[in-house]
Amino acid sequence: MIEIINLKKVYSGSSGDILAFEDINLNIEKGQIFGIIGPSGAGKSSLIRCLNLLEDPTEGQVIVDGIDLTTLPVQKLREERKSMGMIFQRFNLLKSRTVASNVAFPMEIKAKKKSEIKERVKELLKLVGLEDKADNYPSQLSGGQQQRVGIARALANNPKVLLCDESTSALDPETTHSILDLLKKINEELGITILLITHEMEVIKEICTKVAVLDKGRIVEQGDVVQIFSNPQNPTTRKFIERVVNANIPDELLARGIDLDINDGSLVRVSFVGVAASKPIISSLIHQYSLDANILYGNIDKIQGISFGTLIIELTGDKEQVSKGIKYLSSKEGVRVEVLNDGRNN
Amino acid sequence: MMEEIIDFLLRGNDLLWSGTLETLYMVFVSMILGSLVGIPLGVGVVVTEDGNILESKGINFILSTIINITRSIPFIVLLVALIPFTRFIVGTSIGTTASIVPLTVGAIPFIGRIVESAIKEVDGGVIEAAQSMGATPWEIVTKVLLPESLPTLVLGLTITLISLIGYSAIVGAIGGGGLGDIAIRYGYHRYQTDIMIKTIILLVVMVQLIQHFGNLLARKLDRS
Ligand SMILES: Nc1ncnc2c1ncn2[C@@H]1O[C@H](COP(=O)(O)OP(=O)(O)OP(=O)(O)O)[C@@H](O)[C@H]1O
Ligand SMILES: [Mg+2]
Repeated sequence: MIEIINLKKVYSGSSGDILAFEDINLNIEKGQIFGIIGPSGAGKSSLIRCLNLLEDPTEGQVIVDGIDLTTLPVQKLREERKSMGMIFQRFNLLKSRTVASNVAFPMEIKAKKKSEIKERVKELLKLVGLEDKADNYPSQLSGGQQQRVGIARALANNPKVLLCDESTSALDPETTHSILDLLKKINEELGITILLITHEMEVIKEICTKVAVLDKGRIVEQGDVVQIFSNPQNPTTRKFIERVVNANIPDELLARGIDLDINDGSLVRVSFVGVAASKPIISSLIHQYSLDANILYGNIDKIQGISFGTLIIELTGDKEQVSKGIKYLSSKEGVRVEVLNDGRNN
Repeated sequence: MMEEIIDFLLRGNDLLWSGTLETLYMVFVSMILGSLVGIPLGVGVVVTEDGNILESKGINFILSTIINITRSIPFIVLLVALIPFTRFIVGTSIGTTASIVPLTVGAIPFIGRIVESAIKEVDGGVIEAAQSMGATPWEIVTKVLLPESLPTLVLGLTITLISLIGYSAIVGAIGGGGLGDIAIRYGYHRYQTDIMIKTIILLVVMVQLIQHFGNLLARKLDRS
């Protein structure tokens, strides 16, 4: 649906050129919810703005539904934009217009009939759950409600794709959740392809099927969300994932257990994915290697319906047995082991 | 209350009554004519700026130069300098209709600046949203820039209107008609102090009313 080929953006200013991103190659298929995550300044906003040519890419192509937008004359580009919805971090509603009139805006631009617009506005407000706010002004709405208006507006002309620029970053966690649910519903019920950018792994975890990690203007990793979560390769990706997965781990554990009340055991973090999370691996470890396992932390989560668990355990026993045990754990499919604190170094 | 004051000021005094009407006529007509040129001028300056929707260095330079030059000429000088032009257009340089020419020319850069600063305040994100929906520059101007800045525009145009009342008195002083003309001719040259005082009161009332309704309208339009 969206094909990005060798895309590059350089901002040239008086104080020299700034590279926003380069060598971006992505293929976003129809019906996907594709997430792009990256730290601040990675080039995410620049990238998404290049996809509907709000910003002119320096090099490369953006092909949406078979049409290369980068070569279109401006009138044709405007026509194409009508089939691409966009929502924004700060909602960007017209404050002089009512909710209904904001939603009608893109249809006015498409020169639709008044009666048709009226009906469609009703339908859209129902979809986003704001039927009772039709005559309110944006300033009378909460952030979450304003974003719902933004979504209704973006969907007005039945777009093929929806571009979301940090669309939940200005919202509290609960509202974020409800907006993400709405996006998911739109994706499932209307079949609209969604491309979203975010700096929050929570967002990716909650609704994306595919993810690309952008760091310093380059894509450092991409793939299925589950696969990336279970086996991240790039340090930036790991950092993002640890932030969600470890959200509840006490700091002193993360500080590698230095002042911890542990004896001479090895502190390990074990991550499980899928079926591994439901197998009694730890108990067989204890039995086979006659170790003691002291569970300091445990957590289980679901990503795209797949179980995803983390345990932090202290293993005590014969040192050789401990390392054998760790090897045993690592050999299991869907299990990743990280030694946080090797008992011998204490 | 207001009616009583106006009654006191104007009763049995056709001179002041017609002077008031003349002033209103000059001011409103030049306001409308000035807006017809000033609003596009102000919009033009903003949209041709670097990075804006119709970026054009050349046009931007020309338009802002027009505003800057006309703005920096003192109105009394402009008035005198325009006399031949006024004669050419109206046939005479005396009277209310002739006064409309310098008043309009004086209003244009004033309105241009006000429109410029009002629409510069419109959130860039909203413009970007409109662009992302495929809006043309014309649609962005008429459906986003002007409606979104309307409350600020109304306040600015109110100030313009009040300034025009001031300018109209200056035009009056050189035979342009209206309350300024009356104040000079009767109040000053003929020492009719009561007329002088009445014209002052009428002008003050006029300014207060315009400011009041301008504020009211702006507040009514402001949805933020
Ligand atoms: N209009 C611009 N002119 C010049 N440089 C820009 C412009 N917009 C962005 N940049 C630069 O491009 C780089 C990428 O910025 P961008 O806004 O795309 O990052 P981001 O990933 O969206 O960051 P954040 O998470 O903070 O929003 C930064 O170095 C930024 O300073
Ligand atoms: Mg950004």
